[in-house]
Amino acid sequence: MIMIRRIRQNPSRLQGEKSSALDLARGRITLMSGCFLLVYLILALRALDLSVLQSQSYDPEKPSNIAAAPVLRADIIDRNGVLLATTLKAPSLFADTNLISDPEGAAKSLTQIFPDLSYGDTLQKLQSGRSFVWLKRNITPQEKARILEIGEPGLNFEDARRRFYPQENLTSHILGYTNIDMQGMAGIERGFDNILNENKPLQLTIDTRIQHALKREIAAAINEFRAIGGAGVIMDARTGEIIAGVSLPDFNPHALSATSADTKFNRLTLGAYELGSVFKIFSTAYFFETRDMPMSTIFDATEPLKKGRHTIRDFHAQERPLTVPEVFLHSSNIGTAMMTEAAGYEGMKDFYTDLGLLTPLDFEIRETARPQVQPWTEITALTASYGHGVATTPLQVATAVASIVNGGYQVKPTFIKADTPPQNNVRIVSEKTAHRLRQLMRIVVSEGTGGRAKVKGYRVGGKTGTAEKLTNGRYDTNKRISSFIGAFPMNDPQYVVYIMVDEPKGHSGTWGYSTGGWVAAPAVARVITSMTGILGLPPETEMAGREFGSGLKRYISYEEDQ
Amino acid sequence: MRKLNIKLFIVYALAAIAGAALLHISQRVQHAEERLAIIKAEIAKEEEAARILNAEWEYLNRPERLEKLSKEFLDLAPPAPPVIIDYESPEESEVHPAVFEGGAP
Repeated sequence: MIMIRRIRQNPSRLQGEKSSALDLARGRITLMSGCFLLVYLILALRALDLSVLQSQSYDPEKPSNIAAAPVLRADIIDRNGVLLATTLKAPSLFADTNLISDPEGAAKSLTQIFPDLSYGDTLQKLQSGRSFVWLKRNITPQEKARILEIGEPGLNFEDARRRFYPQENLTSHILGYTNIDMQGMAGIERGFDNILNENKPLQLTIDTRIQHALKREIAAAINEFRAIGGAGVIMDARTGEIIAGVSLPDFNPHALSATSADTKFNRLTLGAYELGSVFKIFSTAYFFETRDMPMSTIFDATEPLKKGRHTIRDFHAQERPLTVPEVFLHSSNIGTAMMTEAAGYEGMKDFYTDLGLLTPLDFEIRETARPQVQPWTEITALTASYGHGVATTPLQVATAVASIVNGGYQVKPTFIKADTPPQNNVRIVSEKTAHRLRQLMRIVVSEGTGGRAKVKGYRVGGKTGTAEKLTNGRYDTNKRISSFIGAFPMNDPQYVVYIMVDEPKGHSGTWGYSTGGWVAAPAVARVITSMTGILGLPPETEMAGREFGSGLKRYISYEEDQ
Repeated sequence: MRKLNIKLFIVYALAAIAGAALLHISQRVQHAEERLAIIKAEIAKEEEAARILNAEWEYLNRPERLEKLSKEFLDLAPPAPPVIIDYESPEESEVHPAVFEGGAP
């Protein structure tokens, strides 16, 4: 700066090129100082900005921006949008024991809020000296408020996520459950673990209202006949969509620790049972598929059928020659075995396999059983014709029946609601066989062992099944599985309803009977009655003498019964 | 000389105006971001509350509970098949006489 002043004082010495060089230098210096000045000005303003203008909003605890909402495990809804599973925020209680001022008092207050905590354990945790110890996971907002009222600074909360099932027990076997880390451990939660974790909501084919009706009626049957359990399924006969699926006993998915393994057992898909005479639907279909014989074909069921060291007997013995409709509606084991003999036993294994009865379900939930069948000999086939010696799951039986009554197209059971209903074009039995079986199933209800499944105004058809259970390799005459598979309306079935009850015991109201016709058929009728109300299915009137299946009546001899 | 000063003055003035404008905008952005963060937090809170209320609503509407409550407090029965008619063609439906007598058959 001194230089500049000197130059200013002696302008005369500066001439020509020198003068212009100095001007240039001066201009540059001025510019430079201007720039520095500007920088200082900016710094000053910034300091003002940070210290005065933003002082209010500065908060070292606050996250710089709201973290992107964590990806929550997705909801599961039913076919009508009713919530079946969701993820909620749930605080968990932990203690920093160094900050606990009064361990005894805190432990006492906590055991009052949570009766399941023991005083001794809680006190031990609070006196452990650790800076972090879990006390209680997943507490409710009300419980949190009460803990805050204790006023203990060492009690803190950490927000976690938990899975909540608003319907509780109703769909527990289907939905399954997750562990505390939100990993699916059973049912749909396990089968669709990845999709749910990617926050893609899942819509099931279940209708919660019908699910409730099915559960209520199975529970009523279990209660009435003092049974140990039961299962049932309602399926759309054309698409294989499962409208309702129940296994009892069921469990509360929020209280898994109090749930025994037996309760978690899904009888519908994981239980392989010998299900008895409902298999006559399949063997009769096999007979008509292989031998296009008329309904009037006679099978002599006068005497029990002896095969090697086995004797096949009838439960409702008629002891006379029977036509096919009579074999079916009196549920004659002898007649059915003879039909299988006539059709050839070798091909029946493939037929059962096509119906999906002998292979494990390839399915959306992984709790599926492997069906059990003896090496395929003639006697295996003859007993399998009436549902003994072959064990499969109730869901597979319902699916196979759907595949026959819908006109003969193979259906695959599904729990997942697709945008377009699945198309089933694989033919399993001919339209003619399907029609014959529908007629036979209708007369079982209108004339035969399934009479208690009648619902006025709806053409219900079906087949009873009563099978003795195998215990230690022997059939136990006191332990049976009684079931009924129904379908309606029988001229063009839309729904298949299957109920099985495990170890029912007869009572005076049923004259000691605990067969499928007494135990499961009335339950199916009550379920169908509820369904018609829920779905608003109008009843149909039929002209007397023109009912569906009445054409078979001429093959039925009634005199013998009286 | 004067010319240069005026130029400089204009440059400084422009720089000052630009600086002030920049400060103003940065302040506005900052405030907007704060508001955004608050609104986002509120949305998350509301969504969480809605999830809880929705779950509670579904829990209270369990068919089992509704059935129990309706049995206890309502003089209603489930519709028996004869009272269901096809609303698209009611004249073709056979209506059970009990419908006209009142009460479920």
